[in-house]
Amino acid sequence: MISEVTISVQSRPTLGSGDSRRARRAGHIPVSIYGANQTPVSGTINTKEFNAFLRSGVSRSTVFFLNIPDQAATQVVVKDIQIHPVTGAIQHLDLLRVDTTIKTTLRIPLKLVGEPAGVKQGAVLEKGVRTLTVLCLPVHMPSEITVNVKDLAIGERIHANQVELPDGIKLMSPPNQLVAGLVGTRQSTQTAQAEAAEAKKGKK
Amino acid sequence: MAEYKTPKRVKFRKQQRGRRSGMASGGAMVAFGQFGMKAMEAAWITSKEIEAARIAISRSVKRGGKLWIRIFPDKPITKKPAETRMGKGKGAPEGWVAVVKPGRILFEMEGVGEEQAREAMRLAAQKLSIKVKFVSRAEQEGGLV
Repeated sequence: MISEVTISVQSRPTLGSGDSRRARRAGHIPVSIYGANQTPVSGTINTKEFNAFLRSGVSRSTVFFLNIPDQAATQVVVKDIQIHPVTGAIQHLDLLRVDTTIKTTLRIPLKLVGEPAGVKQGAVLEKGVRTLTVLCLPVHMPSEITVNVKDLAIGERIHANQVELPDGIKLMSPPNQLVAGLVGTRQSTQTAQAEAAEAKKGKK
Repeated sequence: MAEYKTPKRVKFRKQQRGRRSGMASGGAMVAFGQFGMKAMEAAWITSKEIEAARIAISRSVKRGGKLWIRIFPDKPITKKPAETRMGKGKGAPEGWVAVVKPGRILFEMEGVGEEQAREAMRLAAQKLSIKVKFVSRAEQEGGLV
């Protein structure tokens, strides 16, 4: 997904932990911008501006624009986020430059759709990986990959290689990575046994 | 009172107390489930507290959902007997604790709704000796999926 949002980057002449702390106190997030065979740039972006961008329903695969001083508008994606362990505030961002003509490896969020029948009996839908690593052109990059789990039976699993990907997208995650599985619990076993017993009585 | 799992065999029976400065460097993100309980203070959480909190959660959700316990009491704690004069060596092993620093995820849950998870975590928090916070995966990393 390509967003039309443009975020401006202020240059950061001095680097280091002290400078980064001062930037955070002043309401900025230190960022590193790299990739596409260009020189890496260190800068800061406005925290409020970036948080508003996050609230607009973006994902890790969303390509957006950066206004870097003395450079043309650059398309980037969020490569990595550092979070404060207690407050959860964003401490630092790694932004990867994206060339729209070159295939890029990125993590796409997975969305599980539907509720398996076993869940009503007490089974637990276990979610495996939350993202899949794929290789594709940024233009073809989906904002999310949907996986239908409605027909999943108790004990069944869906692995990464069983996920249907849109055209032009190649899976780079390990093929045997667990995406979702329906795990039976004591409650689901008891419910299944009770249902089976009732069915027997009904036959008699 | 029942104890949560403790180490079966250790190399040394007694340990020094150590320091609890700083924040959690690992285990600070909801990694398995959908909802979690985050420590806001540093503390030694005893195996009995962990077990009490675990029971509170499992009773609250009536064995539904799935629970992950992200801490393990691997530190032996010693205590001198009552009315004993100081000296004469370190006391006898008394129990086990998990060293918890602010930001550490203590429990994680999945397979239940947010309201049910919030209530279960609230009941479990009453069994712990520290301040905790309810967190969800959706709010993590600024909400970036």
